[in-house]
Amino acid sequence: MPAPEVKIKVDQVSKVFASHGQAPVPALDIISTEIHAQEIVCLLGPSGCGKSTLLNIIAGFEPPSTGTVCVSGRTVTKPGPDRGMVFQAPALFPWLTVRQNITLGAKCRGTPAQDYEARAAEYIAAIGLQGFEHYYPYQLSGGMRQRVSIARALLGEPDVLLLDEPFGALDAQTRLSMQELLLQIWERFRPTIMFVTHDVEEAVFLASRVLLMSARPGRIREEIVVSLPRPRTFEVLTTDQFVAIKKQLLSLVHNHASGPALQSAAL
Amino acid sequence: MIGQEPLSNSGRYLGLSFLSVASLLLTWLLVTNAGLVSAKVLPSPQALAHELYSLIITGYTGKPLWAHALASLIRTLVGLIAALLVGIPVGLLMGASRVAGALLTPPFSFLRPVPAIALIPLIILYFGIGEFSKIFVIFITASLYIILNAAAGVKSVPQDLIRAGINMGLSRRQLFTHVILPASAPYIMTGIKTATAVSWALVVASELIAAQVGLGYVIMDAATFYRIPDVYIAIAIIGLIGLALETLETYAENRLLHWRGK
Repeated sequence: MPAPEVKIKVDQVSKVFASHGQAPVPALDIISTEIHAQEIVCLLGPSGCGKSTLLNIIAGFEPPSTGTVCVSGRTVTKPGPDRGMVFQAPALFPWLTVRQNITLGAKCRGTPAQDYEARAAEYIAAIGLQGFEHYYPYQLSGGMRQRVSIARALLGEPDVLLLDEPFGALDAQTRLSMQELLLQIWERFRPTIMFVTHDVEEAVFLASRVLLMSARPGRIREEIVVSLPRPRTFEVLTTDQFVAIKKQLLSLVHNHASGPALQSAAL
Repeated sequence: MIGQEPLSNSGRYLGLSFLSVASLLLTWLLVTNAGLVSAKVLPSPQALAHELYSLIITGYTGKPLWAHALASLIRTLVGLIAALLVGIPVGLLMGASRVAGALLTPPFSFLRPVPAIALIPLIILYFGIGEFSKIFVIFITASLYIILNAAAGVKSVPQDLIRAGINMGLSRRQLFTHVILPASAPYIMTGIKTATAVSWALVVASELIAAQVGLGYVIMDAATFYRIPDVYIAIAIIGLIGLALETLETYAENRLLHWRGK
């Protein structure tokens, strides 16, 4: 069987932030990894470990200090719809309706209307917001707005879908239904997904592969394959297999988090 | 919603407002008719009504009342429209371009605290007492408000909206028209409303100083010749027109910018 296509190739990427009057901050140590087509890969790590920085570099918002990122064989130099991004705050345009928000990018790129209108309708149905096309963002709940931003990213027909802690601002129940929605969208459209989270359960639930990151400077210290069968629903959350993987991941996270200071305090 | 009073109470507040206006009118009626205040200082309601009727019939200094109102209104609107046409582009540029911002901010920061009324004598000196002076005063003042608000609007566009636009593949020009401009619109609107209120006050002030027609002229002339009821009537008309302008703009704001602040 031919190897799946490499969608994202991160090659020797590091990032140092210059700091005014202080020592430069090494955010990312040398990182190399590959994401394959139709994978769902999670960058898991504590706050400040550089996972969002890595995602921003892949998206093109930040240049790497060393190394390159290639998406579908093209070197990343600036942001674009081929790396559709979903931010933690939905970042919808408040003066546009749901449909207008989703289709603005396609309209500006010059895509013919009959092409993008049909696909927009399809995505609006996939995110479960039929009937809300003419609503404004302020009339929607947080979860609904986040669904719109997912559809907006998808309409750009991205090579990869990048999500930066997309459900962090939502309540637990909405978060679960959004996670299920993302899985359903993956089942239907099979995008390549890379998402950032600090939530271990979310990582195990969604991902096929988890890249565990450590902080200061950020690097990938562990790679865990999540071999839970698909399609996954919320029922998988209580299976023995899920719990075992979660346990493995939690102890990896925990062992690294509790350093020498904590151990001596316990004595 | 918790914390909100039941709807039956909003009628109560409306009633209170009504009561407030009614009692003010009643006090005015009683005080003037009982002779507690001299009619020269505060005319009675019936005297004002009588004078208003006669003003409508015969006009003031040979011109109908509506002609004076219209003169003031036209000066204001011409100055405002010119200010919009110049101020919005300059303000947007000032907000978007660091060079423009660095160049323009110092002179504007100096001008802003200067009361526009203080500029009137200078402008009359340069441009005379004709229509242009009055319109120019309004143009200068209104432009400043609109420019500063438009620039602030551009600077306050949320960073994540701009990132979202860039991520969607918008060019620089598209980012400006489709993201920065609409996002700045609420600020620009605030600038327009402030500029309108200030301009309306300014037109009256400049007419007090040098005019042959207009509501400010009516006040100045009537006060000179001790025609007190005419002063009050002119003031009332000024207030009503100012209110009408503000109401119109608020209506437009609510229709076009219903999404602001949410």
